[in-house]
Amino acid sequence: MTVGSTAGVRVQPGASAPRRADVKRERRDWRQYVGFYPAAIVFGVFFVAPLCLIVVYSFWQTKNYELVPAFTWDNYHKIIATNTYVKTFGKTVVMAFAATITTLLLAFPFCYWLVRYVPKKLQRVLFLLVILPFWTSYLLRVYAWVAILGDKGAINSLLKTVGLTHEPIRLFLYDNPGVYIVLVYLYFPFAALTLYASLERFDWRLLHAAVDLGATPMRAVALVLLPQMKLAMVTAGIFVFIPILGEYLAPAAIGGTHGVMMGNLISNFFSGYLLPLGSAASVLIALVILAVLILFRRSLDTKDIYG
Amino acid sequence: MADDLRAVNPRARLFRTILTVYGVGIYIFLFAPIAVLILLSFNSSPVVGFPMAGFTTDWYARLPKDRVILEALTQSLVVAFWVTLLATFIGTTAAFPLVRANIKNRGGVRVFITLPIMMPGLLIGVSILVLASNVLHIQPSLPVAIIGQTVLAAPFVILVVSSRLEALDRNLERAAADLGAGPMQRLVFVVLPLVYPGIVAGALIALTLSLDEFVVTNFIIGSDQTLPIYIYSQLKFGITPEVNALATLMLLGTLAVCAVTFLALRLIKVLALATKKRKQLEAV
Amino acid sequence: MSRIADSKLSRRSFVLGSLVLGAAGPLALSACSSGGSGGGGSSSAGGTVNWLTWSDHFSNDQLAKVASNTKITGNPKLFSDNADAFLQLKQTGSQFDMVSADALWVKKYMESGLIEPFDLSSIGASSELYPMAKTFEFLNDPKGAIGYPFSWSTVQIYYNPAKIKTPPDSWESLTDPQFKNMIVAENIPTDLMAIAGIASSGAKDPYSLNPDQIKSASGYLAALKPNMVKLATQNNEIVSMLASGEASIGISNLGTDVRVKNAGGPEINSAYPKEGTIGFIDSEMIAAKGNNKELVKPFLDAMERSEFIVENFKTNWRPLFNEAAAKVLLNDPATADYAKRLFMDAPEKALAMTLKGPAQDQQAYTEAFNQVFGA
Repeated sequence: MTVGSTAGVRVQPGASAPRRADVKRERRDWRQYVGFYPAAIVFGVFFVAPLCLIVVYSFWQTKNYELVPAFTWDNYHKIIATNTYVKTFGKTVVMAFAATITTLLLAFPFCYWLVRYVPKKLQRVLFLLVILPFWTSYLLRVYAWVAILGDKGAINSLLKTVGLTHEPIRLFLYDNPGVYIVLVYLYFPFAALTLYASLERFDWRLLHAAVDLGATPMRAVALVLLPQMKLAMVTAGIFVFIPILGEYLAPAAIGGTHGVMMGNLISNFFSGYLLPLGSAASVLIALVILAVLILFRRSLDTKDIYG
Repeated sequence: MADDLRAVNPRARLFRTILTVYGVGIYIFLFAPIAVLILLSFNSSPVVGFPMAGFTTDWYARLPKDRVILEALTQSLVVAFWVTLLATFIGTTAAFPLVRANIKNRGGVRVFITLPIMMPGLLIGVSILVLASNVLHIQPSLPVAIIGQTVLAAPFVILVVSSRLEALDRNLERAAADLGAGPMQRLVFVVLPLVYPGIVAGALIALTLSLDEFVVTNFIIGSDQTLPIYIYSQLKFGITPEVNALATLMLLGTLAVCAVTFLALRLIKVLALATKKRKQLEAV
Repeated sequence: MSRIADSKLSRRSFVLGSLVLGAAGPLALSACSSGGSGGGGSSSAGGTVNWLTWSDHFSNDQLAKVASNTKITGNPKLFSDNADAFLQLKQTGSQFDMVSADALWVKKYMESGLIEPFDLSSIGASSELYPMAKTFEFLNDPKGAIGYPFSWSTVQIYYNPAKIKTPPDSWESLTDPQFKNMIVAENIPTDLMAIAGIASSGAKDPYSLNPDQIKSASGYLAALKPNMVKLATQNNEIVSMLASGEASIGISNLGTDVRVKNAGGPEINSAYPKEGTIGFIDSEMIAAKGNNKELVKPFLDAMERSEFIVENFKTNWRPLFNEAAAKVLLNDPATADYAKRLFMDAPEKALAMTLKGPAQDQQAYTEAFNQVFGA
């Protein structure tokens, strides 16, 4: 299923390059791009155009539920000048970053265990189990955490039965730590997916060689395996970090009044028909995303991850 | 491979045990919410909470009688059907030029294609809504939702199919061409049969994605509701274990679909192997 | 050569097989569904009324009964905030036939051309309404009725006496630090700003606060925020959080105490805030562009009958305007006390409260609210 470099993220330009001459005939004309047309139309009209429109609207105003096309920096100014918005924005980035790092730290040893210590046949099944949560309603999984952490939740009920507590204790719910836990939970499979694919392709003989040459296993992992995993780590991180920036359901359900994130703010703006303000906030998020993508553009070739 | 490492270092056994315990811990973390969800579907009290009031299967019995749920389920399936069809078509057709056409910045195109996967659904949903209602003057509706979901699903199909295509040995096509097959014949008889596991996998991803899509859909679906939209309104207005029962059944359903697909692919492989053997025998 | 043809054939059958496998399930189901909905929509007498509403305006049993009696199926889609519903109707145009809204919002819908006036007496069930409910100024237009009155309630403070030592008696007292992380209220920016306006500057008309009043209102909200544990997406969540003990104070509608008890929760007391409060009068409206709007009148006629309204009261425990239902409830010893205490017999009290409505400057309200709760 998978070809490609060992680290699994670099393109192999040579793969289809040899003997290009004999298919040249078919390559030269415009017809080779025909396959792109349906995708280009759908992505153009329903992905690129809407996002451009958001950028345009972020410079407009609304008056009494109507958009007024008058150029203004007001919306951006309002967001930057309002303390709470800036704080929420910063918190969202920090939260996304913290959740991403945690997810990676949790996923790496897990995938290492899966690839290294679980027999091949069982491995496939166990790995399928990691993706299984995707097949249960996202919304219900989020709300299930209320039933776990809540005052009448599973953990409190357990603690009470065991006799450790008499009064229910507030377990991270309705504050930032709760949101953090649920985000890690929601995005763990994304990270595991990428890291597993890459670890599975790692040539373990390299590790043996290092050990044979006198390195301790720990050092071997640190000096041989980890550097090879760097690109996969970054890719996994990006796939976790970026979607979290726009999360609004998990913070709404778990975060209470204290765990609000940028997504909630944007959804509030739009449901209050403050389109320009909401657009400006969206553009700011999009800028962070763009910055991340440009910064890590080299690790973004995803062809092997979904192979 | 792990064994010889252990021989080198006696601590490896301990290390292995720790990691195994850790792995089990991760599974508990991943499955606790699902376990809770399934448990509560048997709770006799409609109030969410532990300890459970009692055991009942009433919520399951109620499902087939709940008109709103059934309506939402059919809507979901209709949407999922069209999204799977469109995304698979768009994705597969785009995968070919992505792999084979003469593109200068292939990496750039790839990144662009992954954008809809990574872009927060909130931004996509809101922006499609704004475009549809303010510029195109289309009402938010089922077809808009289908297109919106297709935008999310097609990139997965492109990625999966193109990686399959990439692995394809082009000499097979050349051989077919030498034997006089035209481009269309080569596509139908050589390329598609070799690429179809990728297409099926892509279609399955599109299907599961569509069935659970909420964020984008919620903004653009108008008066209709799919299951996730219904579940959301139930969460807002007081969830009953009926929704949990529904989710449990859906999980079983998806597992069944996957099992059937998996077995079917297996069967096809076995059959293919058998035919090959037979032919080899014939050739001899 | 024949061998090659052979292999082609078998491969093609594999492809076909797998495609059929993938497509058959959904296809069959979608065929079923189109059959089902087509049957519903095509018959001339019946059809579907698409209804943008709150969850307490109907029950599933009621919809099923009405559907079997009249062939008209109510298809409810739920919303939480009036402003939300207003925007949805504006954006979706012809997809909804009937919309629910709070008192003063009805006029805004009318001014925006989103709803159409109708003859109230042409809906048979209206004969069961309290006479005074038919003449509410805000539900009538020179061209006829614009809203069918449904239910009402004041918004007050509910608290759990087992956990609250000094009961709150005013909006102002809710900002007391001893209530840290204890309060839950519905996430309706406009109404919370209105309450904040009443609390902070005693505004007589809390839906048209001037900029100064808005400023002091957001000051109040900022002081309240540390005490708020959650902004609930709907009233039900307030009930469940009070029942589980996750919140000890709720800003909520009449009957919350009964519902908390029914949900297995603790005893809850109510406190009517000194400064006064706001309240709602719900009504049903006919969407001007609805595809099936001609079905709304027969649908309402069936839905608003006292037998259903009695059941509705017994589920949601807040007063309704159906006089016939009130009589049944007051005559039944099991419900008489509740009906009395929850003003089923006193619709005139509804006019004593400050009615919920659209804010004069909606944007200023939303922005001020977001500036407090957006972090």
